[in-house]
Amino acid sequence: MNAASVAVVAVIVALSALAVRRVLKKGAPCECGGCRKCGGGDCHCGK
Amino acid sequence: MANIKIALAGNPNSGKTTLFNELTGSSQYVGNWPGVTVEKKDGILKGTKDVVVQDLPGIYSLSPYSLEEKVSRRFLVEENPDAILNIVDGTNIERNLYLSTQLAELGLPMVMAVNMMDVVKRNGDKIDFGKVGKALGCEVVGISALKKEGGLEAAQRTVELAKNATSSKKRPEVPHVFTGSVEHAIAHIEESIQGKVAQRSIRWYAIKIFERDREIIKDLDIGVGLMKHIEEHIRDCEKELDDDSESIITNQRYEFIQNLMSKALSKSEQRKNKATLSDKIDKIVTNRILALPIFILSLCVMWWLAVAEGGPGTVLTDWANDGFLGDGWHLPFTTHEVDGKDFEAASEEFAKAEATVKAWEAGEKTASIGDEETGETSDEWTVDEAAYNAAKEVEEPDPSKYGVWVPGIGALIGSGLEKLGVGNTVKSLVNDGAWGGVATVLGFVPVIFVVFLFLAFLEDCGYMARVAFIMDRLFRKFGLSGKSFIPMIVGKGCGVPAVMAARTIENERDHRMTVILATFVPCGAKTVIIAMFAAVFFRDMWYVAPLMDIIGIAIIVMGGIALKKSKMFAGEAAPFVMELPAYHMPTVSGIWRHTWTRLKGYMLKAGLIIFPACVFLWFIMHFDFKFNLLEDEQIAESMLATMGGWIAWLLKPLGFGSWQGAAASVSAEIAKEQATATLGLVAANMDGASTAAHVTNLFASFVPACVPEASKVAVAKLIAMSFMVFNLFIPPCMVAIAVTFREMGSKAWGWLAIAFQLFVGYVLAMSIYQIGLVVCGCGFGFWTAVALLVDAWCLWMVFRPARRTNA
Amino acid sequence: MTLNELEIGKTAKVVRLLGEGAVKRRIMDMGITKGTAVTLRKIAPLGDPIEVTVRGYELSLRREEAVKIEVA
Repeated sequence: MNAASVAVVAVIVALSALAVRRVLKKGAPCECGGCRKCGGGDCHCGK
Repeated sequence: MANIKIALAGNPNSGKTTLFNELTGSSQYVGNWPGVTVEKKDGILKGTKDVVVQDLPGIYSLSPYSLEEKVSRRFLVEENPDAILNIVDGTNIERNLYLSTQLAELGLPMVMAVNMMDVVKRNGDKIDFGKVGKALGCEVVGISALKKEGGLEAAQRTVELAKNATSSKKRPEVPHVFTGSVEHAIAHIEESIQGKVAQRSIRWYAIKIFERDREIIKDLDIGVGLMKHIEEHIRDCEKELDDDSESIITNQRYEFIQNLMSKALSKSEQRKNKATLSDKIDKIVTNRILALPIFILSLCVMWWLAVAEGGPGTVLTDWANDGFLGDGWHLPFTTHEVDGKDFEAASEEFAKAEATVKAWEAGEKTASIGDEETGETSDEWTVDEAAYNAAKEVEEPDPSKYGVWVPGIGALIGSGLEKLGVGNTVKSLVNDGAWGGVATVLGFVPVIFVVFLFLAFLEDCGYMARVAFIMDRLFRKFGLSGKSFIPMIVGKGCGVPAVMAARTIENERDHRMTVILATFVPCGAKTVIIAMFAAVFFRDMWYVAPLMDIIGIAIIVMGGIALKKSKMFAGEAAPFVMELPAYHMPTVSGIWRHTWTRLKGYMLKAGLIIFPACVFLWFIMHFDFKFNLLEDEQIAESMLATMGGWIAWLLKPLGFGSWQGAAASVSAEIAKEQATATLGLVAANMDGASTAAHVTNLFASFVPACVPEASKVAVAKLIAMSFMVFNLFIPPCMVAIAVTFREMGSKAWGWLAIAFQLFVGYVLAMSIYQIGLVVCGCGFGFWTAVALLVDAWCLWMVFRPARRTNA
Repeated sequence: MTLNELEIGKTAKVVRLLGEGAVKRRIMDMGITKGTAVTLRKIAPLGDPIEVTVRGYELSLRREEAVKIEVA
């Protein structure tokens, strides 16, 4: 594998990880302290 | 100065959304109220940093019966907004003021913005703001949200009031709208709940207790003894006025407003008996004879716009998939012919020549061109040496010679990777994995855009309410609302906007049932599965595709009836007392905002889910558990194959309980059309010259040993039918599932929806396979009994007598 | 007589509301109270619901709700 291949794979992996994180909203706990994972990414408080 | 929170409250159709958009611009946040499916919107007031405008649902009253009203009152009394901006429709002021009298009792600073003043003036009516304000104890201003006149000033006035209220102790004047004996009883109740509630809202609470509002009485924890004492006062009142307390309050509110209006509103004489334009439109649109044809016509228009062959939806979709996202496209009006042929004809000729060369070199006597997705062969011709030599001369046409050629993103990515010099594996990862996922999402955008645009128009002009009016009788029979029809039609194009379109159904129960059922309509992606199976297995059965639609509709009707009779959806019938708002021409900006918010929602949700999912799928297809990179032909050793093997036993009763069947079904959950691609890949090791032959042989290999030789082909078809039905009617793709979860309002409801859909798809496939097996002479087995028993249970759920509702 | 028995285009005054709970409250909240003038505008193509004019706006209700409204 050459450097370009590694870079392309790295970008794809990073983007996927970001997307997963965003979907699960693990990164930012809701301001009400609630769980964001239920209800498909929306917290119970609606935020 | 700390944060200031302003509640924007008003009736539905009073222009609240327009005003909210004007006040907050693009700083809005849209979510759900806790645990319910009611939309919650807030935003920062334009020109400020710390003023939050909280948009309350459109409501007519603060009663404890509807979800919207409960949510609104809880917000108003528990979250203590600093002030209320009450928007009132000036053309329909009597009923609008009914809510205002209740809001005023909360004792919060309030500004009343009388909207649609331009129309009021045009009609020649006059409203005396001074008198209204004095009677209700609030400030009154005239605005026109549509023309952006006065709205921002009204909001700024509200902020000023909120600031003054916190600095001075002066409480706003609470209006006294009731007659002597009622006021007397309320005064007594106020006295007895002194100290239990915030002083400023004590009158509101007292009136609620007088109405015997169960929620408030429970919340305030009023003891039995005290309640008995209060009850005496209420009963005295009821005896004197010969009515129940709730009716007394409502009647007197309206009497108060009628009185006030006789003094403050002067209607222009000449207009009193003239039919408005809205009346004229409505005469035609909901006419007894014309209403249904017009409704069907509007559905046809939507159908044509979104999914019909040759309509803007499909044309745009083709352009998006093949042109914009694929190889590239010609700018319109720049194309011309070369050697008497246009680009399409030249490409077709080249494809034919390529097939001829390939066939001759493989030593075959005939050649054909097949559809990549479905494996369907369009025409067949014989090849000889002369044809082979001629075909070798045909060159691939260069698109740029035929007009201004714009390369597609897919082609650009391909050439970009070529330049970077990456390996074949990485190329496959990008093309089939990452980019494939993004392209799937973007490829659906045109259809969804067209559907959303049309829906926004229907909603904004007021026709949606009439749809409910026209269709209510029919849909009520199977437990749905008249408005449920729209999501199901949208569902033919894509399940995601269908689920989102269900938002227009106010009643929560109807909304949830519609969400659960809407995705049973075979969507655009499922049509690809149907097309493939029709081409490979059911060529002599032209009715397979329409049959799938009919099954979908049957599931919706029967599922609706069964769900309605179930404990979860039973209970008191929701009242269908609905305003039919006046028709009006929607604004371009309003429709655009509506459409864009939903489209953005779709792209974000779909992109965020499908992109990593496709990368993951590519990964498990191309690696085994020891992380060895596999060639395409080694798919049987991949993680996907191993994992498919784990769940294959679950699919045994359906006839395709092998890793191939499981892998294809699982990958179909990422995007339904993926089932055909995966099936082609997992069948690649089978005998045969084409993908179609591979798949045919794959299903032939599933046929159990007990089947007599003569019926082997029939049973293979049976299994194919079972596989297709299973994949069409189990839960939709991941994106639709995610949207379903959100629209159901809670995790539990989301799971319930998925469980129901999984059950339906599984039982349907199992019944087809097991009963078909008996017909084909395989004997009555354990699973036949299970299938029949479950079927009987399902029929019982549908046809059993309805649960008695306590009306 | 009840509201659903009214002829199309005719106006009558509300005399009494039957029933209780959510449905009755909703009907009253929408402005159909004792003494209010209600005009029957039309009947939906499938025979139900009906459309009435009350307090200057259009309202639709089902027959099962209309039978609870006594008019004269």
